[in-house]
Amino acid sequence: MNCASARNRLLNSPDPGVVPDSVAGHVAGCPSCQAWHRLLVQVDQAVATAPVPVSAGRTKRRLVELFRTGRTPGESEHGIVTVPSTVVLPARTGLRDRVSRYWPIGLVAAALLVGAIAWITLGGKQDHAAVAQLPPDPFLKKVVAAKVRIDTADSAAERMRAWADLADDLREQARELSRMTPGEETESMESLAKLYEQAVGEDALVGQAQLLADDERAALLAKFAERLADAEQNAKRLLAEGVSPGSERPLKRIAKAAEASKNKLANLQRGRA
Amino acid sequence: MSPEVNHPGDEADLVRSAQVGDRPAFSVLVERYWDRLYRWLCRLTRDPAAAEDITQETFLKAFAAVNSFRPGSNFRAWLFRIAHNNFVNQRRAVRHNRHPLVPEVAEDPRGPVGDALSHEALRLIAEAVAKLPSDFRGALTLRVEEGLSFRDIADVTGTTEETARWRVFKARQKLMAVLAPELLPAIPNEPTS
Repeated sequence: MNCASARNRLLNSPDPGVVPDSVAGHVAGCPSCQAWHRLLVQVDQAVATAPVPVSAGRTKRRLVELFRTGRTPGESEHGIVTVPSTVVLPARTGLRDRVSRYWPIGLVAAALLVGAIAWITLGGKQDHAAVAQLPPDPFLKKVVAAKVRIDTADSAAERMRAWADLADDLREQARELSRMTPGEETESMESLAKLYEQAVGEDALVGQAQLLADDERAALLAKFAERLADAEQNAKRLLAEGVSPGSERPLKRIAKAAEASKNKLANLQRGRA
Repeated sequence: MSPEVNHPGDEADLVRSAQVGDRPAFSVLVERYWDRLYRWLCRLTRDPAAAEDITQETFLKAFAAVNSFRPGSNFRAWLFRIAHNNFVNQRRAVRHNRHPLVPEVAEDPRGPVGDALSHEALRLIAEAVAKLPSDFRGALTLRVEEGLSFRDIADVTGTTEETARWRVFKARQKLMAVLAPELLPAIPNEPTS
């Protein structure tokens, strides 16, 4: 055995502190590998014990207190709050910063915007009774549910399904919005198109597809590619039927993103990364 | 490896209680895992503020989804998986300023490692770790700091066990490729006998 293969076996060990029998003989007779092994163990230990910047602990205390009593520290008993599934404590950073740092929060903001535009636009067309019967914002609920589903998924396949469902919800919302009063929907449509591109892109649907095992790829990729093909065709059909000027570009973006991701999945299926 | 000792039975009780809405029980889990999660996220993000935000978000999501946790599986790995997903989402969204952890490492070499390695060596190690791709850095720290098995690392990071093992291997290999020439300059490369 040479030094290189002995060192590779040491690197591959779950715990480099324990020398595998297969390399023990070599290491015992090789001062170079002994020193190298000693350093490897020290590096592991240094990584494990390296300090990190100390947190002031306020966020932790606040969260613990919130779970323990339903109140944050310093809050009066009259200010009791509950811990619903979607509670978000006040952040140290500004809202704008947080929105830019966490795309799902940005997505929620976009969903709110879309919901608000839809509400205003539909409200303008219908009587008060009809408006009152509209659901609060089912799209926002779907987005929040998708966010939790993606973040708690057990596997790449499950995350793919969640991203694909979210992508379908986004394009469905875009389809509905494209039929609204021209001019009112432009900003929301652009937001939806951008989010759709993200949901089917390298960091989401396609990215998760790359993590699938070979057997999963064989079983799943064709179905997802089919969904993307549907999305592409639907967007193109809407464009052919004629939509408001503000919806044209976003729908083209959706069609293009769906097509690009479909092609990437097809390449993955054929074994080309 | 982490010196902390878990009490699996106790933890299972706490999780069960949280699953029926017992928030104080969940607060015990927050206290138990906050620091470990924060440390790991600090290493991943290299940004303490982001690490703290993601830690908080992780616990909120974990509570929201605690009913989906399967009794008998590894709660710590489940929690770290949520944190990892949050980290991945956050990383996608932004390229924010990073604060290298190097100075603190250089100033605070405590314990047997600090005794065995010079300040300079620790600084080099910290720099090399900081330059690792985050996937490698995350897997390595889950292994050496949290003591997770490759199977659990795979669960946390949404990969296969083989990929988890490979990432730890590559992380160590990259570190040694940088550090060995610096810290072992005079030793010949082949056996003397």
